[in-house]
Amino acid sequence: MNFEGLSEKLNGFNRYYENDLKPTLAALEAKRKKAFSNLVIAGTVVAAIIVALLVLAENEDLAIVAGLVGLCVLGYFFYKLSDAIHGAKLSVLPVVCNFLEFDYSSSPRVNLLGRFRHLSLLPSYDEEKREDEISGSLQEVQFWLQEVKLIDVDHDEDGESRTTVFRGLICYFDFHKNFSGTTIGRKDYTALGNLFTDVFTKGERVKLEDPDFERNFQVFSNDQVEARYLLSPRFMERMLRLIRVSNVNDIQFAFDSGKLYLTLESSKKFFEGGGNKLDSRAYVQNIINDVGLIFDVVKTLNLTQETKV
Amino acid sequence: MEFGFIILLVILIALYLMYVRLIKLKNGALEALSSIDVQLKKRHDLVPNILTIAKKFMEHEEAVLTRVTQMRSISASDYDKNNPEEVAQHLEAHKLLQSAMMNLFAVAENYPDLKSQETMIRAQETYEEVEGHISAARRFYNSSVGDLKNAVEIFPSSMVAGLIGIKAMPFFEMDDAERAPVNAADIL
Repeated sequence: MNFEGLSEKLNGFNRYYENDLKPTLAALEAKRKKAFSNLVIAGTVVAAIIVALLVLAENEDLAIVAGLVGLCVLGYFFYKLSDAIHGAKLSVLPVVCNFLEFDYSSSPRVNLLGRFRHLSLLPSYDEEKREDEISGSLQEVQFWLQEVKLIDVDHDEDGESRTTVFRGLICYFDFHKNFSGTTIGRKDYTALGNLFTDVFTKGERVKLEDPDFERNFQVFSNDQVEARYLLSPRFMERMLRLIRVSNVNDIQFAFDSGKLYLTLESSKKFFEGGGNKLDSRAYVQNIINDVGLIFDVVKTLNLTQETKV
Repeated sequence: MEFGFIILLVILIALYLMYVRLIKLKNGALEALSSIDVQLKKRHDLVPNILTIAKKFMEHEEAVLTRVTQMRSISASDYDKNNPEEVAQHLEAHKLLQSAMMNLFAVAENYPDLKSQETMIRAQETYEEVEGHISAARRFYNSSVGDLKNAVEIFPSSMVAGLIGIKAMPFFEMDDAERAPVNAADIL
């Protein structure tokens, strides 16, 4: 497995992996395994004590106390487990970004959720979780990206229910054409769903000629001509190609203030190594592949070219 | 009696709704036509600048330059937006101007000094951008005209259109040169 295929800027990453990263990840994997086995043992012991107190001693009060103490112990080992996993990510992702000359922050510095909400690219939500912010320039195209999870909380007589309404990446890229209006491309929810979502999207509906594109997106704009200038037949083809190559569930986009805004919705967690062992090459490769999504967008949408088509 | 009145009322309402839709579509097509004119005017204004630069280097290409000047002059003629025939002539004139300009750029390829002129490069870039906007405006116009054409030609709204004198407008088709395969290397 070669880590350097994504970009020539990653030249030397293989050597870095062998000399520095591999030993670090091996230590973290050992820590993760130990934390996991401790968690299992602690869980078993706590469960056994509670059962013993309830069945043998028939002491419910003591069982509740044991349960609370047990929860603290389990919480501690769970923290250790998460710490090892988080440590592995922080050993890999910043280094990959550094090789690629991108800026990385594990705790996001900028909150653009309001902007994305304003563009009707994100649903309404009650709670947000943001992490892993990457920004920089790829082939002179400025970009910014953040991983986001949005949760809707409902309260009713049965209690509280929490629904994840969005999980994925929000990002923007500089766009090479000059424009002044706002054009939004939303997921097509079919006729009935669109009746509801259209109300909340700004601008007039733009009917485009590409039937494939129309099947995937509902486009709205405050400038019908500009929308077609931005969404040229070739750009529509590129956007459809991006859906195929990016391997995400849904893509929505907006052109506003000289930028192309994108939301890439996916059920998977980005930059977590795909659930592989921390010391495996697949773990590192998965993180690099997730960063490669930035390359996919720039390359597939041809954002580097000063083309007018 | 009452039943007959209800049917008559329903028919009148349906006719009125068809009338409203036709007027909206007609106005939409006219608005789209105005959008095209805005973009065509940009190109029209850009042509003299390009000609001025080109004349310095293309002294032996008088026929090419004269054709552009003639087409520019013809395309500037006034026309009645409500008359489909005049609209078609107006659009055709602009297609000829575009064709003459493309010919000019093709011939300019033989003049490396002209091609490398900073002012010519910038003028050509601006021209390309304007062409991009014209193409977008044309797509908007054709979309509006397509909707109007359907309403004017399909029964029962065709009947109402005939009564109030609404006619379909001509499409603004692209030139053969525009339809020609593009050089992939320029785009990819």
